[in-house]
Amino acid sequence: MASGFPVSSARRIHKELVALQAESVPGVTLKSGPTESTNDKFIDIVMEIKGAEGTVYNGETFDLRFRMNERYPFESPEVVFQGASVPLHPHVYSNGHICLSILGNDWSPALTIQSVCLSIVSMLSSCKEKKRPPDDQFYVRTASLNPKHTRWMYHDDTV
Amino acid sequence: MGNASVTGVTSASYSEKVEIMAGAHGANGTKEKLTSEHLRKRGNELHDARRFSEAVDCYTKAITKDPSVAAYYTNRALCYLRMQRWDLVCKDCSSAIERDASCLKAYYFMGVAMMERGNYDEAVNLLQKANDVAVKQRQCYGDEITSVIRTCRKRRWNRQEDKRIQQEIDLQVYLHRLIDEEKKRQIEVLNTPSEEPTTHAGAEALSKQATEIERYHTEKKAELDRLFSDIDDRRKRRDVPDYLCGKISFELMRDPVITPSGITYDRRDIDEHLRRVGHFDPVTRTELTQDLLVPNLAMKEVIDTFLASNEWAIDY
Repeated sequence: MASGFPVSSARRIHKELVALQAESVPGVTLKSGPTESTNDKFIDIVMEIKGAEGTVYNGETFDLRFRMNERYPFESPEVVFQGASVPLHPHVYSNGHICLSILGNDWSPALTIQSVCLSIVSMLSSCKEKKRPPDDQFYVRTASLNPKHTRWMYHDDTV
Repeated sequence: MGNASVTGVTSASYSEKVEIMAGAHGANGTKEKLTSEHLRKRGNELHDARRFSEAVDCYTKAITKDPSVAAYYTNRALCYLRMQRWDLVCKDCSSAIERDASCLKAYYFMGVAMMERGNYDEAVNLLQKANDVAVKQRQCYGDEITSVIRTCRKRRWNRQEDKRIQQEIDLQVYLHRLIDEEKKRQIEVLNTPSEEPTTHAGAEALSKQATEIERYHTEKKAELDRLFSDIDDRRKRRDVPDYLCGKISFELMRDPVITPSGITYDRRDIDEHLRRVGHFDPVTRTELTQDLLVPNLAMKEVIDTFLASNEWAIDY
């Protein structure tokens, strides 16, 4: 990969992608990437997530963008839903930001793109009622582009 | 020179200065030696300004004035190293080692030069020696020396592998030729006119036999190619087992340490995690501090054994 991006981070991402292709999460496929930013600051990959059968998202597909900076895996990736279709979910804001503790305070370098995908798939699968978070409008108006700048309150573990 | 980089010029240390003042050259000698020290300093400045050939001149003058100081030789060797004059590096390093048998930089620079010249066996020995001296003198160069050793072993392995592949190709070509020759020989024997007059049925049998010989040898050649391509496939499928890889870098561990939860990490990664992310075990999330990490010697042994028979995995 690029010369500017640290070798150790790039190698780990590469190995994760190889592992992901060998043993994929059901309903999750690599859509594009890894793509490097022109300034070597981050690597992007996009995963396509299919709403599982028997859940409220059955038949829908979503694009999940991972952005790893040069401190990955010692810093969590920036993960957002992108494109036209953002799942209607009590923890997903209409700008694509996701309220999920492992993407913020509870990140651990032992987590992977794959384990994050699994968490998000299970978060979607356990949802019974499609609705936006109660503070969606306010949040979307005030939030930064990067969800990691948000100080999340993880108030609900049930969905 | 405590925790500096190995690849820096050596400036006079306190003990060396004392030695200079106490030199057995009398009053005059002292002055002379100080002059050689000045030349060294000038050389160091020139080196840092990347004016290597001028720096070489300064060190040469310093050596002429006082040929007993190993550091003049290693400093000059470093300039030669930058100038890629490998033979001169080796010569100066040998001189330095003659004067100071535990001269870490001499072993290191000579090792690097040997590696660049493709003498990997000697290079690994010299670099290992440099590393031993560093450990003995408790000098901390981090991963600098060991990473060059890895590069060197990797290059040595790559070269051997290229050679092996070439030999296999040669063998394959040779065996193909043998099969072709044998086929030709058998056909010739078949076509040797016999005493008996050729009948129509006989001619038919002959051509049938010829076809059979042709088929047999084509088959053997295909089998041979399959065998060789199997070896090639195995070569491409080389992979390091997950259990030898750190849970953070996903790479082969160099210094495995185990946490109270029983999870093994590479020391470098878990240190960085504790410093940057937080005081918990990344997998089990139980509390963890650096003093709780214990070297996992059994794992280290397994990794070393694996590496000994899988040299391609160096630097995996």
